[in-house]
Amino acid sequence: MSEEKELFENYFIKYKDDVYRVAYYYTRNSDEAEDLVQDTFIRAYKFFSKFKKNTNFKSWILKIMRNIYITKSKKKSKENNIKNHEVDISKNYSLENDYLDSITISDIRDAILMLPREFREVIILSDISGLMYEDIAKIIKVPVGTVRSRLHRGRLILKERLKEKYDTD
Amino acid sequence: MILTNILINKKCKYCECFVNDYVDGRLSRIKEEEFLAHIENCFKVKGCKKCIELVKQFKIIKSYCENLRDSLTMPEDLSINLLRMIR
Repeated sequence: MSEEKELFENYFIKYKDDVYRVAYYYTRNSDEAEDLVQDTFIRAYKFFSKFKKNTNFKSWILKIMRNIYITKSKKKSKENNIKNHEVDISKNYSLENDYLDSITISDIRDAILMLPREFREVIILSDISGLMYEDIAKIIKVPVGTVRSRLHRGRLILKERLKEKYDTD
Repeated sequence: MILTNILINKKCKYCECFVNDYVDGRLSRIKEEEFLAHIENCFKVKGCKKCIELVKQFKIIKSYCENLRDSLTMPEDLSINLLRMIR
């Protein structure tokens, strides 16, 4: 096996779960996530010579994946659907914490999947993938300040959605 | 004292900007201490505990999200297929 192939394989083994996880939260569907991951690794492999060694492979491949995802979503016009889920974040949020003790992992997963894409992706990249704001900014092509504000709004919405669920149950 | 100067006499939304930085460990130790002292002071002086609550809530949400990291892995057959493709 060539050195390049070996290096790519090492990266694949190291980051495959991270990439799959982000794909799942982007697509909200395991079949689509598998397709997205496959397309992403194929493209990454094809353009691996352009990857600057000693830089962040995870950021690089997630950026590729986001580009593929955006192109695919535009084709399917899913964006309109996502915008319909926008919530009014200007309202006052309640500040009780009790409900947060009662939520489960699946509650939080469902709540993340329901977030509008712009907030969902920063939550995924920051809190699930553990990337720095600067890396997220490069992946989603926005200033660091925008990452910070989307994360803040995303967490506020998430908190509110979890509270709503708690109130309904 | 830089952070104190920025936050003093400012409305909640200015303090809120630092909540995420604090939760995500992006503040230096000194700024972190200043931020915590400031939000505590907000509570004592103005009776406002919005940022204190947000810090608690965001920390809980973040920890739940971190737990999701291990709950989802690439399906074995997809992993095998992709590895085959690379090789």
